[in-house]
Amino acid sequence: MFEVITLLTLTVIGYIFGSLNERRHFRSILEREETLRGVSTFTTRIPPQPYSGASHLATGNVVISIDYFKKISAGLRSLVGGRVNAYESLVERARREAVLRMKADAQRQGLDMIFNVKLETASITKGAKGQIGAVEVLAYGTGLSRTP
Amino acid sequence: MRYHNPKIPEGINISSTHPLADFAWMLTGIALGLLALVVSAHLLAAWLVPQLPFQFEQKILRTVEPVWEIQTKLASADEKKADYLQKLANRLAQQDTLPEGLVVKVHYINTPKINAFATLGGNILIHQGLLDNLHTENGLAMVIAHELGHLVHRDPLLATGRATVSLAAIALISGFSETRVAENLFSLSAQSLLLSFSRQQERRADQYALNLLNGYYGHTAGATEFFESVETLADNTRGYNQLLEFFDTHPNRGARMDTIAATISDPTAPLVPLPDFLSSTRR
Repeated sequence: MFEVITLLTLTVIGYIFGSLNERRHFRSILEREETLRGVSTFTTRIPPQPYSGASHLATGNVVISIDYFKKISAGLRSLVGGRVNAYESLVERARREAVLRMKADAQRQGLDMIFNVKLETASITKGAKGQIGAVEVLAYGTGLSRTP
Repeated sequence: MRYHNPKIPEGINISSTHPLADFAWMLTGIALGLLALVVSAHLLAAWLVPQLPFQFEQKILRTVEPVWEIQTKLASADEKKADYLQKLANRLAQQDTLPEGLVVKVHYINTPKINAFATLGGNILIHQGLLDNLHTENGLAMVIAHELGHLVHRDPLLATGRATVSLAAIALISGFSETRVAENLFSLSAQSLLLSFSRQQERRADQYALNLLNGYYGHTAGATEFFESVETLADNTRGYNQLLEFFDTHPNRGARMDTIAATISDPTAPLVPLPDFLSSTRR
């Protein structure tokens, strides 16, 4: 009985705080994406025109933890298959947050274009038993300026 | 080359299902699937068990030998008591024609636990604590005859089969799922459901026991003695602790006692006292 109560409490706490956090995070992401629209990102390795101005590495890194509710939800999902609803929003947040931090990093250096943008992801706990997982996303690219 | 900086529409990468709805659907589906699995296994077991010979039970027992050995090491410390119990069981068993292949073996275990139980291979285990709380042979005969009833009805094999299926289901769930959630949830229900015989099995064993008693003594007076002493003992802490295992495996003792008491037609019939050597010297 004790185990069930612990489990339910953790799940409810996980859901309440997890969804509050997620909503707040998405609001902040939308806001900052608007303010950083001026910094453009490109996946091409080389700028279309010859460039001789300043170039610096721009990086953005973020680690987001899952909550107990997401963990259980994904655990159940692994039995029946299908889209892992619980992790989709988590990875989306991490990716957009990392890109935003990279853009902010570029802006801090006075740059407004980022070429050769790459994303790296890593799992912090690597599926270790009894651990709450966390996802890391690193965004990086070469920052250039439109007015060198 | 001209570049555009369009606004990307929201919600492309995320399912629109509400996380709680998603969770509820999965939980319901998995619970129903598991229930169907366990129910069909139970039905299958009920059909299969009576067809298996008693030699099969012996074979299963040998595979769980380590547990079994610990139990029997505690046993047979007192040949005289074991012998007495075995003889009483044999006399009771003679009131009915036992199914072919069933050889009843009674083991005496010198622990203060107040319990007795029937297990695979025709074995009955009786703890010293039980003997210390009975004063008539009629009361003890009722307990032994009840366990004989479990053996005749193949209840231990049925319980083992069901426990195995349910444990397999739990292992399946916890093996596939990365969390230990399912394991925690289901092991609890499995424990409470499977360690004990069902109420129906207990009732059937009681009925069987009353028939044996009636054949052996000519009446069923004294059949409720064990239940009566349990009620008295449960009032103090020490007695309660010794009874924990009994309570775990027998949740409906009140109703059972009433049913048994109702069938006693001759409550004043003379009872046979238990010999003195059965009581524990540590008393």
